[in-house]
Amino acid sequence: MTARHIRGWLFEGGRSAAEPVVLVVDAFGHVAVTGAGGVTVRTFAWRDAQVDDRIGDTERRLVLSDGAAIEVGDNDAVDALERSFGRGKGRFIAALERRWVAALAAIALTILAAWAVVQYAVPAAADLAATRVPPPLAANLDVQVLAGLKQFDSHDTALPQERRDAVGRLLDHLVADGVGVTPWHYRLVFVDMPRVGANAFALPGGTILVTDQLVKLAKNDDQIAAVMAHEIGHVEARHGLRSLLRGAGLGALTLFIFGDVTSLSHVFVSMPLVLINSAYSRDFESEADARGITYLRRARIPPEALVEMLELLERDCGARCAEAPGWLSNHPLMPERLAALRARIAAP
Amino acid sequence: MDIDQPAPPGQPSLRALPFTFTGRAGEYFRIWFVNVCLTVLTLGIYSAWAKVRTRRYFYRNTLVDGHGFDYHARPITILKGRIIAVVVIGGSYALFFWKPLIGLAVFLGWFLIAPWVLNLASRFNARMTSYRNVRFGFTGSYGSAFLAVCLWPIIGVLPLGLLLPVAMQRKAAYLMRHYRFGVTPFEGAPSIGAFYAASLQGVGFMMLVGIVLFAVTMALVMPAMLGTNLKDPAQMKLALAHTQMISMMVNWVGIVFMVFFIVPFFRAKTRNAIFAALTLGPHRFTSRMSGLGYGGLVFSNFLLSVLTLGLLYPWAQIRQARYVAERTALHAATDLSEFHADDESPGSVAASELAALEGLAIGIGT
Repeated sequence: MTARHIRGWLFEGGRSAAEPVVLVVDAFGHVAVTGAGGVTVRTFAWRDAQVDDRIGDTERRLVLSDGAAIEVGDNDAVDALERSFGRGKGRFIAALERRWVAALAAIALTILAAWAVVQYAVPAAADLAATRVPPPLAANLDVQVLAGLKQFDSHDTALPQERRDAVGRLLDHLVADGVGVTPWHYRLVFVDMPRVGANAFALPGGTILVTDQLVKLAKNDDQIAAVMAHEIGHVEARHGLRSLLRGAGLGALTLFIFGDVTSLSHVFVSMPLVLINSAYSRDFESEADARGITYLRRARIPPEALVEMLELLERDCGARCAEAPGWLSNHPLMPERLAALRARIAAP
Repeated sequence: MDIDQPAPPGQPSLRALPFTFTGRAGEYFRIWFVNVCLTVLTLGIYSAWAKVRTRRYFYRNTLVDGHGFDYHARPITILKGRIIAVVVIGGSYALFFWKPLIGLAVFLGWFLIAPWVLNLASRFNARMTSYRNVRFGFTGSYGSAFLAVCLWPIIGVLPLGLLLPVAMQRKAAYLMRHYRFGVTPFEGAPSIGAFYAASLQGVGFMMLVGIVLFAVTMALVMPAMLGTNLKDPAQMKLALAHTQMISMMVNWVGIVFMVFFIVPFFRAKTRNAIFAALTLGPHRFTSRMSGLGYGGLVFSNFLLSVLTLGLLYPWAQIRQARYVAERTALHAATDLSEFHADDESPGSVAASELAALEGLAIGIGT
């Protein structure tokens, strides 16, 4: 192999003066740096120089042991010398970046990987984390959500005290006889929500939110108990925490990847309100239904009340259904859900 | 003012050296795709490597007098800094969330350490940047940083925000005076008048946009309102929901316009003022960015990136870098061979990543 010649600029360590030079590399990787008039100004072994990674076709630097640097533009020549004499690091990435096929494969792989992460990895991690959250900590969340309720056109309840006490006793009975031993401390909150209408929500820490409209809509106490049993199901299965942590996990991941772009504040500030805004997944709803039936049976309340209540709610919501969150958000699937419920009740 | 006129006797004449940007969209596309792919596959770990490769690509492609800038941070250092930053910020928000009172104390603490973080972050970024084998540097004291980024913003807001342009000018002046190239300090303070002019124009634009958006909202809402029987609660509810949705959408348009047009407009104007005042030894600088041009560029970049689901984002970045470089020039009094390095401590990468996550703007217009 004959000597190779590469043009470059030599900078002495920490100096800005640039000297045009030619690197003459022999067959053993010895480099003679020649300046004006072909005078050799220094020599070094290619192996001892620290060669920057190739990035696109940008000029890169060879840093010598004494801090001197040589800026070189002929990337292909440097790559060839690196293959012969160099330590060979960072080549793989640069090779990927130079090929369109690799870039296109990268897009496909990215979409696939992103889908897998969002679909499986984040939910699994979030579910695992949700089982470790102590109930009192989750109860703190409820306080935040209740404080944020004002945005949702909610007013103080107009139900008479004795009616509220009656529903409260229903809940106590459900928890004591239906659920049994539980780490959760259940708390009942009534709100008047004219725009939302008849509805109920389970907050992650055990607060059950029931609207005045729902209490008025129910034909009997069993139906109210049925709704609360379903909500208790959400709490016992930690659905609130799981959805919350799934959302937070996705947010944190996005932040980590696009760290330079966004501010973390959005993720955390919006967390509690997301709870009420977003519907539970279909799986969560059917699990809560199933648990609800179990609790109702143990508390000796006919589980058919849940079916009756769902039918009442569906009829009540009418035009509002499309935009209503929570209970009614999976409205198109209601017939399916009712059928599944009836089948479960019919089974012993 | 034309800087490159014949110099008065006794002063060196200045040679205009325009910045050039040699990056190409096709080339950067592939780098970006590989970065995104590996970042997702490694659950974010590779993002540190991606950051370094991206910076190096942009820095090395920005040339003055035939030589490029370079970026020297090691990816593993960036990764550690990023993890610390995420834990610290995440922790303090979580604290704010669970225990608002302690959280409040933490945020007060943030306010007090912000100048320190700014200094360390600026120092890290400067130390990791080089030109002609000489690293940049940053030497700021806590006291003057506190004045510039904590006290002045408060003073600026108090009298109806009338002193805000002064506050922004103070911050710019603080940063420019504490950067160094090797041992040579940058100097200068931008004119306050330029900051006021840019602010007034920005506010004017905002009002104009506000009026237009209000008119659009009215045009969209009125027909539905007029057709509504106000006595029927059901119809009234529907009309209200309709109005709410439209005003929310119009709000978003306003926010997007603010962030992607008015902010870049302001940046371009103030950057021109900063570079006009900036000196490095006998050397001077100019920036001739057009406020409308740059605002329009950033706005169209945003729209195109969103409409193509991010596919045109790399192209947009290249376009923006080229625009900025081509309107910047160094006016050199010498052949630039006189600079030499110092050995200042390297600053803190964790601070730099904190600053990046918190959106602290650092750097003089780069």
